Amino acid sequence: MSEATTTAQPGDEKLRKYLTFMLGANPQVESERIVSRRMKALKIAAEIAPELKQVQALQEGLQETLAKLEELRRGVWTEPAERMRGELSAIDIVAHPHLEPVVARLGTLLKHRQALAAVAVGNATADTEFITHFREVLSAAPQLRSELRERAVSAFTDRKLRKAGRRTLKRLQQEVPEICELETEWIASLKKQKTKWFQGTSKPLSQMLVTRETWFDKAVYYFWTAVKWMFMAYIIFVILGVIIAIITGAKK
Amino acid sequence: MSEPLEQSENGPSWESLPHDPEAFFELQPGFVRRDLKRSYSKLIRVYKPERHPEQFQRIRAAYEQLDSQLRYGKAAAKPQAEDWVRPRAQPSDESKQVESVPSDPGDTLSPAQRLTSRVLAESPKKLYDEISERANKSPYDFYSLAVLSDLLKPRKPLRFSRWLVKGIAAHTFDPSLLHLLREDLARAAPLDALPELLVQCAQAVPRDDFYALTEPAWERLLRVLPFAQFMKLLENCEQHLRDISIAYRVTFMMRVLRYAVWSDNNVMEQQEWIEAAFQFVEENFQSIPAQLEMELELLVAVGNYAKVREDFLNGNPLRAQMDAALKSYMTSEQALSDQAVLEVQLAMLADPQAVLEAIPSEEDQAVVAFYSAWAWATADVADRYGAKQGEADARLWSDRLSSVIESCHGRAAKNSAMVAYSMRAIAVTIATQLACIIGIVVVGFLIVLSVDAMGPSALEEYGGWLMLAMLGVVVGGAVFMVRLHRKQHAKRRTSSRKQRLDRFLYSTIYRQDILGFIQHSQVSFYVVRDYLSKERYYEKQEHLDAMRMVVRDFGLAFYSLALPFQT
Repeated sequence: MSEATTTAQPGDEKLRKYLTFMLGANPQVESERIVSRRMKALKIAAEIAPELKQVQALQEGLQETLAKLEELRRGVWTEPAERMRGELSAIDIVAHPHLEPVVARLGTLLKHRQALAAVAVGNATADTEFITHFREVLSAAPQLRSELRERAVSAFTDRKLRKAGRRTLKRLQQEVPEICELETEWIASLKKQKTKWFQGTSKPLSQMLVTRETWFDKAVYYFWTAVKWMFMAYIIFVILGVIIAIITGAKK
Repeated sequence: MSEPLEQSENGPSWESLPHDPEAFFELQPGFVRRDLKRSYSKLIRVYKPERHPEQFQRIRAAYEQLDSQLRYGKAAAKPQAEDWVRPRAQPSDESKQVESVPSDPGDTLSPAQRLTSRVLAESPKKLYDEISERANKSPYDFYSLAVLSDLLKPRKPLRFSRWLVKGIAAHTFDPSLLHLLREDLARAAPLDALPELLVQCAQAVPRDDFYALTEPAWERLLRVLPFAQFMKLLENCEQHLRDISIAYRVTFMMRVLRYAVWSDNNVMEQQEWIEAAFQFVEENFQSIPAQLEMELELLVAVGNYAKVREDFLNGNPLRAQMDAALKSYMTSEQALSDQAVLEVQLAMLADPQAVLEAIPSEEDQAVVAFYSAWAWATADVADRYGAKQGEADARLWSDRLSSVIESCHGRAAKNSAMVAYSMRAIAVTIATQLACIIGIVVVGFLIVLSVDAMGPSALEEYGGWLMLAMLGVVVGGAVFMVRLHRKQHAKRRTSSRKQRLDRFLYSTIYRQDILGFIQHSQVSFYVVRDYLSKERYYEKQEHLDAMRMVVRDFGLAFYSLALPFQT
C-alpha cells in the first residue's frame, strides 16, 4: 500500500489526501472512483486481459487509418501530392497488413496523377468524361468502384461511347500504364464489350434466366408430347400392318 | 500517469459522470443496447487502459452501470441520493474539497465531514476501534470501517468487502453500500475469495438485487472457474434467496448461458443444467425486458450451435478460427471479441477459396447452426466497425449475373463429365425405347401368328378383333413406354451418380463463378439468392438443380458477410 501504509501517520500528506477522499466520497455516485482509488492505493492490479491493450491499440490505429484512407481517397486527385504522400507513408501497414493493397494503389495514383491529367488536357480526341469516370473508379471505395466499373461496361454497349472510350483507353495505356495496371481486368472487359442491338428491350434478369410457366407453355408441351407418341404409335401400327399383310399375303 | 480527466480536449463530457452516463455516452432518449455498445466502443478506442487507466475504468464502469440498468431495470438503476456525505461541487478536485470542510464541525456536518475532520488529527486505529464498537452502526459506519480496515490490515483486502457485506446485512436496502459492493465485486475483490463473498452476499441480500449485485463477479468467475464448480456455487447461493422475481433470474441466467454454452458437451450433468437453464429462460420469455429479446435470439442460436459444435469443428483451421471468434464474442471484452471477429472476416476476404473449402456446398446442420449465430455477431461488430454495405443496384447487376449464370449453364453442358453422363442417358433411353418397340412388335407378331395358326377362316372371322387387339397392344405399349421413360428420368435425377455429378458441376463451375461475381460486384449473396430462389422453373432440370444449390450455399453466404469489411 503506497498511500495508506500500516505505519502511516495522520501527518502523512498522501495518506491524508487518500483518507479525505475515501471518507468524504459518496459511493452512490462515486463507487467506481472509490474502487479505482483503493485499487491504486493497495496496488490491486486491474483484471485486464493481457491482449486487450494490444487489441485496443490495434483497433484505435485501424479506425484512424481507415478514416485517413477515406480522406486520402477523396483528395487523391486534388490535394497537394507531397502532403498526401507524406500522410500515406505514415500509415502503419505493418500493424494492418490488409491495408497494404489500398495504400499501394493510392501511392500509384499519387505518383502518376500528373501524367493522367496530361492525357486529358493534351489530347483533343481524349474522352474527358471517360477519363473523369476512370479517375473515380481508381479512387473509389470497393463497393462504389464495382458499381462505377459496371456502369462503364454497360455504357460501352453504345457504339459511339465505346469508340471514344477505347481510343482514350489506348492513349491511357500508352501514357500511364502503371495506373492502367490497377484495372487490368476491367479494361479488358471494356475492350471486349460489344454493341447490344436490342438493349432497349433486353429482358430483366429474372426473365433471362427463367421462363415463366404459363397455360400456353403447358398446352404446347402436352401438344408436342401427344404428337410425338401418336407418331410413334403410327409407326408401330404400320410395322404391324406390314407384318400382317406379309403373313396373310404369304398364306394366300 | 494519465492526464486529469477534465483536461481532455474535444473528448466526452466527463462532468456528466457519474450522474448522467446517458449524456456522457451521448445517447438519445429511448436508446438501445446497440447504441450504448457503439458509443462505448468508440470511447475505449480513444481511452486505452495503458495510456488512460483512470478514464478507461470510468468509461467501463459507466458502461456497465447503464448496461445493467437496461438489463435489470430498476434493480440496477441509480439509487436515490442519500446525505451521509454532503455532495461536493467538484469531486475530482480533492484539495478544494478539503478546504471546503468547515473548521468548526458542529451538528450540521454530515457523518462523512465529521469523520474526515477527525481522521486528520486522530489515529486510524483508534477511530476504527471506536466505530466497530458502536452497537447500532449506520451504513456510513460500515463504509468507514471498510476504508479504515485497509489501513490497519493492508494485506487482508478482503476485510473491505466483508465490512460492506456486513453493512448490507444490517441495512439491507442501503443503495450506497450496494453500489459500492457491486463495484468491488466486479473489479477489486480477490478472485479466489469471490465464492465465499458470493455466499455471504446471498445471505445478506436474499432477494432480487442479488443477481444484479453479483453478476459482474459471476462473470469473473465464469471465465476461470470449472463449470461444475460454478453450478455448485450458484446452487449454494440460491438456497439462501427468498422472494425472487423471475425477471431478474432470467436476465441473470441469460448472462450465465453466454459462458455456459461453451462448457464440455460430454458432461451430462452440465448439459442437463444448461438445458434446464434454457428451458427456464424460454418458458419465462415474457418476463424479460424488451432490450433483451434480441440477445435471447442470439443466445438460442448459439445454444443450438453448441450442440453440434463438435461436428462443425472438423479440423479445418478457418472453422476453428470462426468458432474461437464466436466464443470470444460471447464471453470476452468487447474490444477483444470485435478484433477476433474482424480478423476472421479479413482472413475470409483475403482467401475466398479457403471459405469455400471450409464450408462446402453440401447442406450441413452444424454449418447452418453456426451461421445463425455468426450472422448476429458479424452484424453487431460491423455496426461498431462502421462497416456498411450499401444497397446494390439490382438493375445494374442483373445483366452481369444473367451472363454469369448463362455461361455456367453453357460450360456445365459442355463439361466432359456432363457430356458423358448425357450420352449415357440418351443411350439408355434409346435402348429402352427400342426394347419397348421390339416388345410391342413381338407381341403383335405373336397375336398374328396365333390367329394365323387357327386357319384362314379365323382371320376373316376375327379380323376386326385382331385389329382391335393390335391397337390395344400399341396403345398399351405406348403408355408403358411413357411411364417407363418418366420413371427412368426421375430415377436418374435422384440417383447418387447424378447427385455426384451435380455437386461436381456446382462446385467447379457455378460456385466459382458466383463467388467471382460476388467478389467483382460486391453485391450481397442475399441479393443473388433472391434472384435465383423465386418460384420459377428453368429451361432444363439441370439448371434448376444448380440454382437450388446456389441458394443453399452457406460458403457464399459466409463470404458475403465479410464484404462490408472490405477496404
